[in-house]
Amino acid sequence: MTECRTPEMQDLLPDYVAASLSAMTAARVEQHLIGCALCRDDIELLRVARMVRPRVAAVDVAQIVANLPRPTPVLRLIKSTGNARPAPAPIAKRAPRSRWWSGSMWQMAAAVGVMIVGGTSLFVSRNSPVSLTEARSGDAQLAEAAERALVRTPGVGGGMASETVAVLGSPVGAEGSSRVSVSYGDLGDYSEAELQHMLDRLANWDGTSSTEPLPTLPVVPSSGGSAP
Amino acid sequence: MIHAEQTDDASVDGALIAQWLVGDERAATAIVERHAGALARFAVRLGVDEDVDEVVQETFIRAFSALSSFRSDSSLRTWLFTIERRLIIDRRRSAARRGREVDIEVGHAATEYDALDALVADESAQLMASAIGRLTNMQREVFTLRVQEGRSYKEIAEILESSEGAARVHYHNAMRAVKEFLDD
Repeated sequence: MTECRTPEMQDLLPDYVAASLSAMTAARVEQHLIGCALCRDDIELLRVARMVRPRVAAVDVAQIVANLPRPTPVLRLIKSTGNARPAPAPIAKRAPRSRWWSGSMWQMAAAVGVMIVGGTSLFVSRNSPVSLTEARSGDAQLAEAAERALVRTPGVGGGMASETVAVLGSPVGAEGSSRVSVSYGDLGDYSEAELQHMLDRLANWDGTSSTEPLPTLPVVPSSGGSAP
Repeated sequence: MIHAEQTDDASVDGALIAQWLVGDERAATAIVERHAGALARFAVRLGVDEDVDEVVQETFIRAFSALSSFRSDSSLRTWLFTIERRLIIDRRRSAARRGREVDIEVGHAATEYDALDALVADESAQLMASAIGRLTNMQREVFTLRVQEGRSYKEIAEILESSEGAARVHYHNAMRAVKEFLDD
């Protein structure tokens, strides 16, 4: 057996050699050492081990200090209150700002989304009159959807022709279509459901003509063989 | 002004830190004087051979940059050891990325200690240096921190970013290995 059966004492030996134990604990260790040859051997070993320290050249303290960062005014203010642990203070201040930021992020994202939807709608509406009034045959599906989305209807009293009214999802009758003209609507006039309906229809449109030619790949005559 | 004694008294360090944070630059000098030697030795034990001054200085710069976050849960020296060890690991990684092989193998570490032989007059101390040099990296770090620097297992676990139990096991394995080497 090469080790003492009292682990607690074994753990204390380096501290005993370093003379860092309290007087009471040191006395306990000394009492143990009287009857334990193994721990006495360990003490000798540890004393030698403490002697074996790498010798290093003296460090230039002045140069190190000259390169140290200086305390910031904030730190000085915190420290001047006598609080030796200033770290929690700025963290406590940052916490509510973080919550505000995370909340506003969603709001900003929603706003950007509405702007994109609105911009897309305006783009479509601004580009649709020509195709609706003069070139209906160009893209009948697009024209139909645009007409249903943005129409000018006669006023109830008959004298409201100049008023722009948005009617969504209401099919225009054959006789009414002659009086309907596409107008630029104000997105603010639409309810959320109406905007959603527009979006749904936009999503169903095939924006690319099926006749759009694809880039052709050169046909290389093959001399035979098979692909690896 | 607190005099810079070469002791590891947490209350002294705490007072010096407080003085430095309110603008007393003499406190910085005292802090550096108290811990620079131990940091230099620790750097050598971790295999730093040429740039010890640079490592120690960088350690203090990092520490003073973050001194407001020091919570006194551990001693300042333990905290400095932790910073220095991470710094040395970072330097090794960046050196490895540049293609330099600087990882300290067991044999290399033994050479580090063999180089001390001329400085150690006592034969038993020379044997001890060789024994420590033949420990694994982890055993050597734990052994030197425990025996030569007087760190507790808790502090060693913090420095090595390990557990207290693991530090204790490494220490006892190191003791056993040293004894076996000396008995041969």
